[in-house]
Amino acid sequence: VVDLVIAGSALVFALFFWLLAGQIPRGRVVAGLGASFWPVLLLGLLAFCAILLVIRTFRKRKEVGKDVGSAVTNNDDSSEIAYPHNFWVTLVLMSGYTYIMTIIGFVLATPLFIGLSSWIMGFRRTKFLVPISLLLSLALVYVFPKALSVPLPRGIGFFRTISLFFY
Amino acid sequence: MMIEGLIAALANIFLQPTRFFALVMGAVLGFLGGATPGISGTMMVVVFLPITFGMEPGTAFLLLTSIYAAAVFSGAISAILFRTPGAPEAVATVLDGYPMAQKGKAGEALGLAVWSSAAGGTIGAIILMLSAPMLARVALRFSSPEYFALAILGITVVTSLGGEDVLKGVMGALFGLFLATVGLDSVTGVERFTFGSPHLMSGIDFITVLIGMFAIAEVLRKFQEKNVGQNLKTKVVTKLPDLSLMKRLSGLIARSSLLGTFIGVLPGIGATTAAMMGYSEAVRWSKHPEKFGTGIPEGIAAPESANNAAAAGAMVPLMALGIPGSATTAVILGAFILHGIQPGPLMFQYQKDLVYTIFLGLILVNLLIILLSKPFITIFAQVMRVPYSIMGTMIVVFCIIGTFAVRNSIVDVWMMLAFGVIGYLFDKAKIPIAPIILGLVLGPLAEEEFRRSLILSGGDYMIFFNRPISAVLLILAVLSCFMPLFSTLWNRYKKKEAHGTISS
Repeated sequence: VVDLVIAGSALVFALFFWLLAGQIPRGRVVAGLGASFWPVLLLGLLAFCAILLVIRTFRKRKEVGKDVGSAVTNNDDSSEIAYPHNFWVTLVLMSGYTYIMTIIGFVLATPLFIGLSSWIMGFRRTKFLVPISLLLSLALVYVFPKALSVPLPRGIGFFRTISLFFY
Repeated sequence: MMIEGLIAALANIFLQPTRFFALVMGAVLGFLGGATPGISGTMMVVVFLPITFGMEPGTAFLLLTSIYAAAVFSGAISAILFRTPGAPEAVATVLDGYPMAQKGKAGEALGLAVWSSAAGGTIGAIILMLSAPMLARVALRFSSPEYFALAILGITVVTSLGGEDVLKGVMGALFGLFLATVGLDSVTGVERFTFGSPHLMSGIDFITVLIGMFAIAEVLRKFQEKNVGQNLKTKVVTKLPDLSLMKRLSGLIARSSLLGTFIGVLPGIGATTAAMMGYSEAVRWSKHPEKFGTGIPEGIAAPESANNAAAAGAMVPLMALGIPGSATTAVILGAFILHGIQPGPLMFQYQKDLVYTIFLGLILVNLLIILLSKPFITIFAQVMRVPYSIMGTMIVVFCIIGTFAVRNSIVDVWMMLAFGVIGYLFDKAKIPIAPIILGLVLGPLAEEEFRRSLILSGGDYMIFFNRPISAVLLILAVLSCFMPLFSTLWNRYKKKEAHGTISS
């Protein structure tokens, strides 16, 4: 089923961008090739591979159907996963950090993120959590914006003023 | 000329504190990346790559190549101490390393890994130094059709990088090649797939994709697993092998290093295969093959010298031809492009300083492996207690800083997170990530040289076959594409033959 989903998604992807490629202005045609030639060639090959994947999946199914005894799904990855909901939690945390950083700046957003993420992901030594978050954030501020001159977001308004104290 | 270049590079490294610091720092970071399960050497290079953007190329590449080389060695540390290879390259080291540690000889096992890694890495780096300039001289005759053929040959590496599923590997490479077409077309100047966004005009930055698909996807996966810090009960003191053992192992190390370098040069095979082959060849050559797996020095020396030599060997096609031989060298190729340098024959003419600095860096890092591994291992046993809840969180912060640093753009960070989710889903669907990165990095070269060749020939496609080097490279590419098919057919034939023998 997974392979069929991959093939289907690849076909939809190829078709969608193929249609978009048709709208690319031809511009200057050089040696008979416009700007859309190369992407269309790639999308065509991708669609071809997707069709091959569909054929392969159906052929495999037939083979498995013949040999009922071997029709066991290989799902060895699932045994490692203990907290499946953490996927969404991590995604929300990372997105939240990215969004908040633009408003309150790197200096304030980073200790919040380090503390919250570490706690949610299982680090429950509360008395260490605050100093660890603060020290790591300070080290990051010292290394990146100060030592390496990486211009990390300072936030807006009042928060920007706070960030300016640091870098 | 080479000696002069190396002396100048030596002065450059030791007289410029930042370069020397980058080399040492790279070794430490590489140790950490390689030794910690869940953080690979590739991930470490990916995370630190954007940070090198502000550095001058010499310092930047000393840092990156040092991380790369040191990480290959340090995978052995956790393989020996915790039976968990810190990097895939150390899989074969577990076989004899862990049993040796179980016998109470962890210090000796680590010392052997240090010694053989440093010896293998040095042999590999010397072969790199001698062969890459020769290969580059041949490549000087290349023109657009040859470069196109070379890019295609590089992309067909996916048949090996794609793991078990070649078809999905090819689809991944096509996806990467397609991503590379987003932005302004370099020949006609028209916009392609930008959806009117000015941000996409300059294309999708490969670092955004790289960090998302490698690092963020890995964090998303690891946070779902049950992770506890490893705790080492006894204190480990690394002991280098004595002279008699060194002498006994010298032939084996030399043989494994040569084999490893050769495997490393071949595109797409890499250090993990080199380690396994080094191990199996050691078993084949041994007078006591039955002792392998019980914790003998040969079982550590062979894979460790082979994988470190292979890491240096993989730099040969990258530096001489500009095509990467493995996932990490594909990332390093990206780093060259980020710094406005095209690796290949011209680099040997116009960036001699940088070339010799990298060569020397790859040799010196082996010295650092010997010098720094002992204190590192002592500290590392403590670092392993840090739970992944903190380590993973810090990786996310580094990824966000790294992505933002490239173009000072928060949009890039959002895109990186999106590619992280895509990478996670691809991983679930068993679509290999390395071919996507390869396609993305080699895509612009392939397209530009393809179109330039056709401009040269006035639209005649025979230009790719009329020129001998280009024709040979394209034939090699086709052969490498069909290699998995040949090997499947060969295996089937052998199975049938064996079946026939049994039934008769």
